[in-house]
This record gives sequence, C-alpha cells and structure tokens, in this order.
Amino acid sequence: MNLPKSTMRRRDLGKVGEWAAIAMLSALVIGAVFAPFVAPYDPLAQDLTNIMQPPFASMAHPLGTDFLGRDMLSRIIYGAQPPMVVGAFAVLLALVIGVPLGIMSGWRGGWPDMAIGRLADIQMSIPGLVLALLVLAMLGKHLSLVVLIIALESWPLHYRVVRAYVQSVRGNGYVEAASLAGVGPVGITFRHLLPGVVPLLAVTATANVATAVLAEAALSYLGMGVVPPTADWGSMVAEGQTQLSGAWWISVLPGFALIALLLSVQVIGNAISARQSLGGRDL
Amino acid sequence: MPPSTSGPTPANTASTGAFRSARLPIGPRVLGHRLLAAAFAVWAAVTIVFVMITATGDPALALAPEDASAAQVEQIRARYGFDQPIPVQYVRFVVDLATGGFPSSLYSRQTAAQVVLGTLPNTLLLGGAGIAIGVLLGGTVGYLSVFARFRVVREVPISVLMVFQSIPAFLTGILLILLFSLQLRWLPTSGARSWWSLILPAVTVGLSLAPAIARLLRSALMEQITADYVNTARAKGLTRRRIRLHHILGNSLVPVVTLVGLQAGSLLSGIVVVETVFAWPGLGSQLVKSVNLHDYPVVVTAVIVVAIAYVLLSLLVDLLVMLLNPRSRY
Amino acid sequence: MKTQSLVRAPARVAIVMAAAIGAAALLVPAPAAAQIETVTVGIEPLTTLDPGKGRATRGDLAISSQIYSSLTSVNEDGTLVGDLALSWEQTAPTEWTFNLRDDAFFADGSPVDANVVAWNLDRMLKGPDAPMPAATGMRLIAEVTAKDAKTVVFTTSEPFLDLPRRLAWTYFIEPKWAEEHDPSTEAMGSGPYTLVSWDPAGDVVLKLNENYYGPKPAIPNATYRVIPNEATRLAALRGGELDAAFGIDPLSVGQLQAEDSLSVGAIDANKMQTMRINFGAPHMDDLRVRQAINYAIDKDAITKSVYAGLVGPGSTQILGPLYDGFEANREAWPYDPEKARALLAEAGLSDGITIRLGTAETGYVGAAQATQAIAAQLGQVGIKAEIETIPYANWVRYLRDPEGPALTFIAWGSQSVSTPEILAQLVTGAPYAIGPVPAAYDAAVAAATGAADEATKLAEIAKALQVTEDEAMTVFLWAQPQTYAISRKLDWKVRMDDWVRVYDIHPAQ
Repeated sequence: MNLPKSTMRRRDLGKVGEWAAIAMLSALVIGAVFAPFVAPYDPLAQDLTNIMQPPFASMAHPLGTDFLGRDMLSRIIYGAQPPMVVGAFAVLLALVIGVPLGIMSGWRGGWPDMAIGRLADIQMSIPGLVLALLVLAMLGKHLSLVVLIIALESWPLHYRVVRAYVQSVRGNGYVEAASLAGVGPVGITFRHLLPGVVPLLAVTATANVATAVLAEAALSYLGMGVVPPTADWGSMVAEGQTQLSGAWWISVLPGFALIALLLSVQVIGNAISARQSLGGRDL
Repeated sequence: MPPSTSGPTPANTASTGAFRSARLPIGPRVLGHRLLAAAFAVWAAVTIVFVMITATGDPALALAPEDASAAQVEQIRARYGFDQPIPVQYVRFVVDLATGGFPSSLYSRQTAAQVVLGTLPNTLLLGGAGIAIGVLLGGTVGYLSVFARFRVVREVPISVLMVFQSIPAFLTGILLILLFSLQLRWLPTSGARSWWSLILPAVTVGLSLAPAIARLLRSALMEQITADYVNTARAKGLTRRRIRLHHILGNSLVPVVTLVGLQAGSLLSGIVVVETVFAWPGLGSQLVKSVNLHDYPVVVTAVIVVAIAYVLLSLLVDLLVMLLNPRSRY
Repeated sequence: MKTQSLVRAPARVAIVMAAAIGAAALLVPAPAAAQIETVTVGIEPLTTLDPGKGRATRGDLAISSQIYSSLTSVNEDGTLVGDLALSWEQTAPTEWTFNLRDDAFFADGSPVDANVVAWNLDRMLKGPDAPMPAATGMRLIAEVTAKDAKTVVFTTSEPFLDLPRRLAWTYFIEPKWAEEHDPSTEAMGSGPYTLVSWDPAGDVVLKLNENYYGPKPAIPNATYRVIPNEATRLAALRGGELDAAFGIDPLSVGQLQAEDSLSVGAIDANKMQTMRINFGAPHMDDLRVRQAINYAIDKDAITKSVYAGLVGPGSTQILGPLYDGFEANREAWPYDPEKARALLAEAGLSDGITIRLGTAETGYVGAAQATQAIAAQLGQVGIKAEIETIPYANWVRYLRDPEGPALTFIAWGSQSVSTPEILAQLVTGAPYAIGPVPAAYDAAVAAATGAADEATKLAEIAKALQVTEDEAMTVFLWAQPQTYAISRKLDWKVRMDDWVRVYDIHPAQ
C-alpha cells in the first residue's frame, strides 16, 4: 500500500498544510488580540443607510454589512474574541483540574484513584451540551459558567492521559531512586513527571481547544452563550439564519471564520501528535 | 459511562470470525458489572439535575407558572417537599421522578413527561437515520481509502471527509440548507412535514460521525491486512474479495461499534443542535425551547431522558461489542 | 345515392354539431370561482380554548371567535356590527339593553339566549376563577341580567359608552356542557365553524358549521398551524404548506416577494409601537429626560431600513387610525439629537446615564432589530441602553414588574378597538403602568371612560392625548407594520387589527 513517491509528495503537502495552519491560526489570534487596531470599524457601529450590503460591493465594507449596517469584517475580527477567550480559559481550567488529579491518581492508586475515577465517570452521564443547557437555564447565562462547564466536561481527558503516564513511569528506576533519596513528591512531580507529560498534554490540549471553541460556538448559536449585540461567531450565525436566501453572508462568513479556526487547530494537533511516537497516523 | 476497556484494537479479535459460541452469550459477572455502572450513571445524572434545581434558590418559584399567587407557590412547595431538609427533598425528587409525579409543563396543557416523550420518537428517528448515514458514509470512504484501485479514489474522499471534522454541526446544517433548500430547491429547509425533511438533518448528523468512523476503519483495515489469519486464508486460496468482506470487515466491526459508543455523547449534543437548526420537532429542540421559556419541569424531564438515553446507548454498545468479541465477554 | 348523402352530409354534420354544442353549452357551468376546500393559516402560539382566558387576537381568540358567538363584532373597517345581538340601546345612562336573535344554537341544540349570556358574564366576573383573564376592561360592569330569553340588560356603575365594543370579543360557552367538559381543551360552539381538533403546539382544524345562523363561510375547512420559528414559517409559505401568514419580519418580506404564488406586503396595523416608560425607574420621572429620549430617535432612518420602508414615522399618539378620537393632523416627534443632549445637560446629566431597555423575543414585528438601532441612537446622545430580551411567554410578568426596565418596547392595542380601553392601559394602577402617572391624564381617561355622550368622550380623549404629548408619557415610534403573505388563490382583505379569521376569506376570482 505504500508507494514511496506518493508518500513523499504527501509529506511535502503535509508540511505546507502545517505552515498554512499555523499562519491562519496566528492571523486569527493576532486579529482577535489586536482587534481595536486591526478592525476598520467599531463592531457595534450601525449605519442604517447601508444595511445588508453584499461583500465586495464597496471598498468601505469589503465583507459587506449586516441588517443594521454593521461592518462584517470588523464583526468577524471581534467575533473571534469570545470563542478564543472561553476556549483558552476552559482548557486552562481543565488542565489545572486534570493534571494534579492525574498525577495523584497515577502515583497513589488505591482509594483516591477509584474515587477520582468515579468522579470522572460521572462527567459522562450527561452529554456536555445538555448539561450546559441545564446549568445555564437554572443559574442564568453567565459566560463564566460556560467556561466552568466546558472545563468540567474536559478535564477527564487530560486526567486519563496523565494518570496512564504516571502509572507507566512510576516503577522507573530513576523515579524510585529519587524517591528513596528523599526528593519530595513536588520535586518528583516537577523534575521527573511533568517533562514527560507535557508533550502528551500538548496533544490533549489542542484537541480540547477545538472542542471548547466548538462548545462556545454551539451555545452561542442556541442563544445560551454570548448574546447580541456583542460580536461572536456563533451568535452571528444564528442572527443571520432567516436571511440565508438573501443576505447569506451574515451567517456564512462568521461560519467560515469558525471553520478556519477549527481546521487550523485540527491540522496543528495532528502534526503534534504525529511527531510524538504515539502511533497516531496522520492522513 | 466509558465503554469496555478492550478497546478498538482489531488485533485481538477472533481469528475465525465466528461471533457466537454455544454457551451463554455474555458472562453474568461482566454483565452485572455493566448494568451496575449504567445504574450508577443514571443516578449521577439525577443527582446533578437535583443539585441544579436546588441551586436556583427557590425551586418552588421556578416550577410555578408565571402568574401564580403566593398561595399557589406555597402549595407547590408543600406538594414537592421543597420546604423539607435537602436529603428529604432529594428522596422525594427521585421517587417523584420514578413514579412520574413531576409537575406539568408551564406552557402546554400536558405534563412534562408527555411533552418530552411526545418528541422522543422524532429524535430517535433522526438519530437512527443519522447514525446509519454516518456509518455507511464513513465506512464506505474508509474502505475505499484502503482497497480502492485508483489512488484518487483512495485519497480524495477521505481527505474531504476529514475537513468535515472541523465543521461544527450547526454550520454543516446551515450550509446544506443554503445549497439544497434555498439555491437548488430540492429539499425543505425545516420542519418535519414529510420524509423529505428528514434527509438534510440526518445527513448533517451523519457528517458529524462519518469522519471518525472513516479514520478508524481505515486504520483498522490496514492493520488487518497484515494479520496472520489473512495470510492463512490467502494460502487456502480464498478470493481476495471473500477475505475482505468476511474476515477483515467483519473483524473491524467491533472498533466501529465501540466508536459509536464513544461518540454517543457528542452525537446526542449534535442532535440537539441539528434539531434546532432545522426546527426538527424532537427532544433536542424541545429542550432548547423550554430553556428559553424557563419551562423548568420540561427542562428537567428532558435532561433526565437524554441522560437515560445516553446511558442506554453506551450500554447497548458495550453489550454489542461483547457479543461480537468473544474475548471480552467474561 | 352517394350524391344524395354527399349533399345531405354537410347538413347532417351541421345539425349534429349544433346539437353537440348546444348540449355542451347546457352542461358546462357558468364560469365560477374555483372551489377551495381548505386553507392553512399561520398563527401565534396557542394556550387555551377557553374564551374566558384567551386574549391574543392572532392566537387563542382567532379560534374562539370562529367557533363561538359574541354579542357584537368588529368588522374589517373597524365598525361595530351585531352578531348574536340584533340591536342594542343605551336605555339609561348606566344601562344597556341588547336584543338577541332567536335562531342561534349550540351544536347540541341548546339555544344561545340571554340566560347563556348572563351566565358567561357571571362566570368571568364573579365566578370562582374571577376575574378571568379575558375580563379586562369590564371594570364598570356591575350586573348582567336576562330579562327574558331574548333580552339582556347590562347595568354599569358609571356610564359605559363603549360597552358594545368591549363585548365584541366576549364569547359564550354552554353552561351545562361546561360542567362536564374542560373549556380549555374542548369546545362546543355556535359559530360559523366547529372545532375538529386542537393541538396548541401543532394544528387546529375547523370545519363548516351547517347550522350557523349567519352567512355561510366561503371556505368549508380550515387549519390553523402554529409555526413559531421564523425560518420554518418562511419555508412553509414558499413551499405552499401555509396559504397565509402574518407578522412576518419586515426584512424577510423582500425574499417572499419573489414568489409568484404569494401576494406579499404590509399595511399599517391599527397598533402603534412605542416604548413604555417606567416612571419609577431612575431618571424617568424627569420630563426633560423623557423628552430627550423622544428627540434622540431617528424614526425615519429606522423605518426605512429595519422596517424596509413598510411604515413611516408615527405621530405623537398611541392610537391607531381606527380608534375614536384619532387625530389625523398630529405630527411625529422631531428628530433632534442636539436638543436631546441640551435637555440632558439641563437636567444635569451631561455625563450620560445608563438605562435598561426591555424587548420581547417575539410578538412585535421588527422589535429585535429596532431595539438595537434605538439603543445605538440613544448612545449617540449619552444614554447608554442595555438591552434585555425576554421570551414572549414570560412577557406578562415582566411587564408588570415594578423593578422593570426604564423602557419597554411594546405595541399598544385594544381587542375592542375602544379608545378609553387603550388609554386606560396607562393610568395609575393599570397593570402595565408603573410609577406615578400625571394626574391630568388619569382624570381625562376616567372622564372619557364614564362619559355620558360621544361628544364628551371625544373631548376627554383629546385632552388625554395632549397630556401624553406634553408630558412625554411614552416614547412615540411608528405604526406596527401588518406584514402579510397570502396565497394568490385567496381573496383576503388584510385587516388593520389582528383578527385572523378564515371567515373573512373568499376564493380569488
């Protein structure tokens, strides 16, 4: 099945793809971080004389305007902020929860391991979005809750990977030696465990970023996350849905931006995992 | 709950392709363990829901209709025991749920259970159709990526499908509406009036599942090809096609089924979103509608039904895997 | 021989042809309007069949009004006509007498007579569930008695000139039947249609009532369909699944106009969209702030864009054109952001203020986009408006909340098309009025409601309208566009009020 030439060509293409993904992701992130400088207009600035302009119709609004005359390009640049902020914080929180628990579980085993394992399993009894809907319905639509819920759905992923790793190196010679030499758990953690675990976490964290961004977009689409008029890709897609047969760009352009972000994260994630000898096959 | 730990490694599947033995299909100890895990998951879901209800501060107020008088709210409080200490409330909550004694929907004539169960068949239909399309599409593309004669057919479909892994379900849905309903006018944009309206939502659900299946099947098949038993079969003189279909494909079934189980959570979440995009009158869109209306009895009932469905699906997948994979049965 | 037949053949042929044409002419009917068996109409979400509870003219009442009878009825031009009542008369300042027809019967044969009327009014005003939700505007009714089977007498606590109008949307159920059935989910009526099936989340099916006492409807069957999702509704109209729908978002009207099968457009509804002011909210008790808000809004820009030019800026009154006392020469509040800023500075608020602005998710055409545009315009003069969007189902409670937002986007209407009734929604203590109301307004409205004659009533109405302008009691906006999409095979005159009655439909010629 492996014809050397095609594999080589594919590898080159793959390299180009990786660089393209990094470039795209950087552009989106930089755009989001420096939005006030990059975006031509205030995302909330309305221009009622210019509503629903198509893209490329005028240089003033290269990507067109929405039903209140707001500039689409600016809204798309600013619209990256909520998914990225929510995604970043959610993943961070998930790591903060999952890594220590994973180390403790993997190292200690026994009761704590079982208890935490059960806790991780509880996570899986209600699908993520449904749980989010329940919590947001009961406690109100706060973005901090969205971050918390996504983090609570994601931490088992990091936890399991770290736990498996710690279990596998627990019996390693140098770790035992360090333990016997009196190096405390903190020292062992930082000096011996974390360095090994970080590459693994790079993979799980990228996957987590993708699912977190996806979750935020889906919740905002359903009206449970960021609400209008704040620019957010998910809610912009929802707002434009009734205009699909006319002003399709109001929904479709933010959608493309979201796809671009997720695609670049996916490609980068594949590249990272291919570089680790985890046996993951890239395509 | 996490599926069986004898996970998607095709190498450890049976060599003869026989799926059943003459004894009991599944060992009682393993079965019992699975059922217990399922029960635990349902209990966990119910508890989470209860915690959320009490976290609102005043459950009776939340469950009462908009224009209820103070006296009516008191009535509700007494009826469901919200004035009791928390542990007592909890027990009553569980008992009420089990006996179907939960309050009526605030906005419809029916009880919450009736509303929810009324929409369930539509969701099952969509889910079933979606899974079928996903498995067929993913399976076909995965198979082609290994066994197709022309390189184009081996490489292009699966690359295209992989792109869909990055497209959220609601976007896929919207783009499909744009193309097939609004531009081409072939299919309805939303609702559930005819069988035609099932196509786009089911394809959307299928497209969220297909990439993972294609990828998995491809790696499973590629490992199978070099397995010993295949060489044995070849030596015996069986045709390539027979080998492929009978042994290789058959033994790749287990990882695919397991994957469906692993994806069950995101599948259910995806169905909620797809139903909203297409205004498909199922449990998912009912849940979203009720959340917006603050119709808490329906929200609570819907969440619990979804949790039960999730647990049952995982359980079903586990049992199916155990039936297909003799080694994991005992 | 042959020659003979050849000569006679043309004549024979001619005779046969003439006979055939003659016969055909007798058989072919005169050109008639195409027969339409059934129509499907879009409708707002339904809650109840009980005419004592239902209040939405485009929802519950649309159904009730076609399966039940009322004493009077409002037709398309806003004129009051009799339904059950053949005639009515104000027999004393505080007394109205209605003379009923004797050929109105319920489906089980019971007569719809004065006793039924009295029983229903009692049920709504004094029964165990009283006052029922549909009993608004009946404050002045003291007593309802059946003098005999064909005469009903209403005694009021003060002169109630608009009583006949008010009764145009009060429908009657059968007393004995009501004891054994739940009027919320079942119906047995006397109106032009009978109920075949009722599903508040789906379809309501109506069928012609053979025993109806009035002119038979042109369409024998009707289905009302609830489709809350705008995108689905548009798709249903395009696909022919819905024959008609109202309340379409103005920005979607353009899309539908491309459909050949539909007649699409808008007229001014008899409802004014305004922003109700909560006088108890911070800053709202200051006249200058209220005036500033009115000056800050560019109604022209909003109606041309968000409302696709389907309506124009409205004048300084909350009445629609069909109401008594509507003043045709009133003008719109001018757009003057400079003046708004000056007024705010005068009030010592040049640093700007922050207020809450509430809007319903659905129910008022164009509201979602309009509130965003309004918020932006208020921001230009230093008023930061924070928008809260409330599901329509929670709307009633939200409107009555004393801690409610400073401004609430709302469209004012009265099911009876009665001016005192609509003005009464803003007096002190009215369910939708919050905070202190100018005393002059209360006085004028009370006088108009209890006026002894039309002239006094109109004079008091004029006074009340002037107070609303002088005191900037509300934020005047524009008429709600009555957007419609109706299949071209129907002839349905679009009403300015919200009644959606299949009874009004005829097949197109």
